[in-house]
Amino acid sequence: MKTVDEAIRQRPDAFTDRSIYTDPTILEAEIEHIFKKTWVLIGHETEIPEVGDYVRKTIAGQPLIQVRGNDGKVRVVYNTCRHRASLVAIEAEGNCAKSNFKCPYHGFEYSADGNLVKVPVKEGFGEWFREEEFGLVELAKVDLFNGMIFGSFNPDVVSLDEYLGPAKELMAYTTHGDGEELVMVDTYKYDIAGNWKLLIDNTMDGYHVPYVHGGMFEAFGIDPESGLGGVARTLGFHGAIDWEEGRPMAERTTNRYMAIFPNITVHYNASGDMYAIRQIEPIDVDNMQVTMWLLAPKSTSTREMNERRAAAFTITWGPGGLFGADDARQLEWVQQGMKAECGAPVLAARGIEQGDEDHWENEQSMRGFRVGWNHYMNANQK
Amino acid sequence: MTTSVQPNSADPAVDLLYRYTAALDQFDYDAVLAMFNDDSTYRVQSRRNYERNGVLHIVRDSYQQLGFRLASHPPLRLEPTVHVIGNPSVSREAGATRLRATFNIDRNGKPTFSGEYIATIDESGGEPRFANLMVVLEGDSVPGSVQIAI
Repeated sequence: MKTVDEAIRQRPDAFTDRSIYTDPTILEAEIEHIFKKTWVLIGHETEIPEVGDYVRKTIAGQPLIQVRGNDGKVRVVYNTCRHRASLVAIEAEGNCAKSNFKCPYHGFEYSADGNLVKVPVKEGFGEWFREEEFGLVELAKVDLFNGMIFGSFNPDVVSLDEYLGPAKELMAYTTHGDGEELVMVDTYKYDIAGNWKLLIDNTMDGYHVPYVHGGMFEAFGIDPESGLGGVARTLGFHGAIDWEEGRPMAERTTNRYMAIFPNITVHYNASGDMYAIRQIEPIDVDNMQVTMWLLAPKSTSTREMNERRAAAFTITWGPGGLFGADDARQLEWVQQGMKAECGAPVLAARGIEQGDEDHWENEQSMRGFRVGWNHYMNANQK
Repeated sequence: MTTSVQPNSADPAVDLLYRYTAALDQFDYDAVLAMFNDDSTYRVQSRRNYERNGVLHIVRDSYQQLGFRLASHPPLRLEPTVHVIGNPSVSREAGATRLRATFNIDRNGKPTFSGEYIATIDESGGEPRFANLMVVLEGDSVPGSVQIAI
């Protein structure tokens, strides 16, 4: 009979040291080796539809601005003046087409393209100071995928297509409104007192559903033990819970949830025609901030339709949703339990003896995420 | 469970808000629900989305959904709340009573939520009740989950 120690040796992806959820130095390493090496979601193109529209972002702790330039191009620039480092965008969002980004400290002004266009009393700097060399600094890499703005701090990162790899087909379908462009309906942010990885784990975890949300099942007269259904799939370092495994994309009609390593989850809920994206930002090792976008196919993104989508979305998802609030509370309790320095690993081991069968209760997708985590954390320590 | 709250405001609309928040702090969810009309709405929204008339809320409950929310969660006695109400104002025009007041909510001893209550109050039936209660949350990010009402 196999022992626990043997199982741990054979499947390190299924047994996790608690410290990766609680050690601040591991979070620092995650920021450097994961968030600053991979592709990360910055935002959605439809947050900034007009020239000069911008939204402030904080990704991996870095102050950024997502802005549509005068040339219509989406840029991601660091939100810091080239003179004395002040933020140049102070408001959370707005339009800078006419006002420029004006540094509040000494009045340096930058255009929507990031170019330095005004320096008060410039003569004092000397001839070495040329405006064209002092624009806002752009993020190393930016690429769009179905309206989603991805960026990377790593100039040598692989292409976004290659990065998404086996997740690309389902991702493309899930973020494209059954063949139609998605637009942002509305957004908000919320905090959860848990390590950033817990929400990814939770999203890819079908096993918890009848228990954390058992009250909801009972209220609606559904047997909690009937479970979630669908299959939990590993797609490279990414994951999915897929209710229509194997069916051609164009014939699919039901829910699909995805986790794209490292910081986003993508959702389609057929019952309310709801598309949603969640972006997860570590605040510190014990806290995360989640940005949630509700999206809709462009042709049906009307006030009336979106009211219905938002109502269906809100009753289930987010920090006040009947499911979302229960998840958030549960993750707080997990984080508190993770602090136990008891020497015992936590498990994502359900299904390893069934050959990682893609069953909804198996923790296959959580293990896929852990393989990605190990890959980036170890690769950068060599 | 009965609520031992006594009216502490001369204005019945403000008093309703005091009694509502006191009932939440005392985990008396039956009393909370009894303060709403049966066609009322209970909503929680970020300031950003409220000011923009955005469609996305944190909570967007009908009376029935609020009842379900309150009934489906056991009182979180391990996480007591303290509501502090500030700067209430009431307007009565053409039979409509509007109430606004700021709030701070400590949860488990820590400052958690701050914002503004914006209510329409039905005073036609004797005991005032919420016709609509909107809870507008300040801040860039909702700082915690809202399993029950706040």
